[in-house]
Amino acid sequence: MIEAQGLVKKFRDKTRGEVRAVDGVSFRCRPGEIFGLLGANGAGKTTTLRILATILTPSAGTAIVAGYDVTRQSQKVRSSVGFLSTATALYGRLSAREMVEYFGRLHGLDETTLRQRIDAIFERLGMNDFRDRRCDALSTGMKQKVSIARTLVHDPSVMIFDEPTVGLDVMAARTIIEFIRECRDRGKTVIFSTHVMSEVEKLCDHIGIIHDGRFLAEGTLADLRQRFSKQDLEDIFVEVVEQ
Amino acid sequence: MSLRNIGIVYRKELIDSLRDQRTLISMIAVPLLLVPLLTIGLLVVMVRQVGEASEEVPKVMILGGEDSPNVRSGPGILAK
Repeated sequence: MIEAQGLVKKFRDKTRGEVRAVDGVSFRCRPGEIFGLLGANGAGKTTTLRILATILTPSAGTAIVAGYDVTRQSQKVRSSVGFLSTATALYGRLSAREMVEYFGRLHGLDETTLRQRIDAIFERLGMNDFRDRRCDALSTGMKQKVSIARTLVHDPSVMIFDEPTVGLDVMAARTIIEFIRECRDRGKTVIFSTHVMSEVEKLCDHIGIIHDGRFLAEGTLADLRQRFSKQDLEDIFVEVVEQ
Repeated sequence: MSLRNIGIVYRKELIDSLRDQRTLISMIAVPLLLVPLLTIGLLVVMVRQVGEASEEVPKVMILGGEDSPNVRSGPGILAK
């Protein structure tokens, strides 16, 4: 479960002065549900997700992730969260197996559990053919799989996806989309940011539209369609933002 | 950070560095080959220069030699 209450993140910029990248964002995301954060570039999606993943601390407001407070229990939040973005940021000279092992160990898994988890994940994602190949020699799709495996190794109950398909080809993007669905089907709490309307329509059970750091609309796709009397999500998005 | 995590990161960094050719060259090839080569080369040059200098006959000019006729008539003295 994710519960954000009045999240605010302020930055100081030399030219613009104080910038409120996130301005009073509140929402709730339940287990077994995909919550889509929909917004244009610079809307505050990434900042919101980084606060939830404890990469950034909020200037005001609170967020409870998997039952833990992001500011006071950040260590526990981190052990309950898997964070995936387009930037795989793998260590090129480590093999796929070593890479996942490294993160598993940092999450405190013992060697037997780690081996079992890696075998299961590699089998499920079809990674056994390249498990001992160095990451810098892998294709983009393979790298994405390694990144997914790293995200899953500690079996987190909350999954955070920050524009995970940007710049990926159809096949690699498909792998990610399938993986997100699988996370939901396994009862994980999934939050997903994107500016691609079709992905939201395909995946999300709940949608939040964010613009200039503020949450402007929230609901299921059916709710939003009814409220704005429009079928196309893009039209709904434009109307919400222009209002 | 716990000691266990420091060990995990250290091990990863070590594997990563040992697989990096540039690191290997700067860690092993340079100290083992280049440094002895430079040291020996410099020594050879120095020994050669000292040898050459010791074989050379120094030339001395005597100014105001009129007052020292013994010096002027000594062996190897060329009168001007």
